[in-house]
Amino acid sequence: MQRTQLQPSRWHNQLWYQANPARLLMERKAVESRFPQFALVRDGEQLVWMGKLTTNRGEVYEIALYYPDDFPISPPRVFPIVPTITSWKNEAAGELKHQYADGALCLYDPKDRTFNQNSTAATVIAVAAAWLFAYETWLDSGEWPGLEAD
Amino acid sequence: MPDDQTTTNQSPQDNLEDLKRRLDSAQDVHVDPSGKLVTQSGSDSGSKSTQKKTVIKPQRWFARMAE
Repeated sequence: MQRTQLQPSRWHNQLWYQANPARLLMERKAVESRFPQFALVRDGEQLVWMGKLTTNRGEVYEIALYYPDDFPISPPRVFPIVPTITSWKNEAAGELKHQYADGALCLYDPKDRTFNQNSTAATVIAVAAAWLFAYETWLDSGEWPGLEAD
Repeated sequence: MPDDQTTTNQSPQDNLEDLKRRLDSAQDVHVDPSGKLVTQSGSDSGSKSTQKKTVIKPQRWFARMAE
């Protein structure tokens, strides 16, 4: 049996933010109110929030949050830009700890569907901040705090 | 690239460096009150981290003229 693959964001040849301006407005308000240091930019057709987060230890990280084409079905993806973090679990085997192969942070367990479609980019930035805290703890102690999917 | 969660040919480090370079020349945008995306004027050739602005201090001109 063949399945027809639908790409919701491309219905009527529109990108998600063109098809759903109310959602885009909600995203802007959520990020600007909670993370005013973040700026919205466009990389090709993709929308990206860029900004800096400071951890409790005073380290500053610049991250880039990319909205996927099928947002909000899929969650935004976050990349550590400055510094470019690679948290190797086993570098020889090419295995990263809580990062995807392209360097994106692993913020959600794909199996448990913890990303809610009502969650905004502001929530994802907050989760990324928690990831950075966990990363620094892991660098210091070798232990990743909290639950681990892998 | 950022949509792809599968394995890439590049190393994660190289991938992130490429992304950083792309974002250096990304276009500033904002969202108007109706939810429409608007490109910010003057940012077409701008760069996020290397943008340089000439700062003019007109009050100095008048100060010199008065001397």
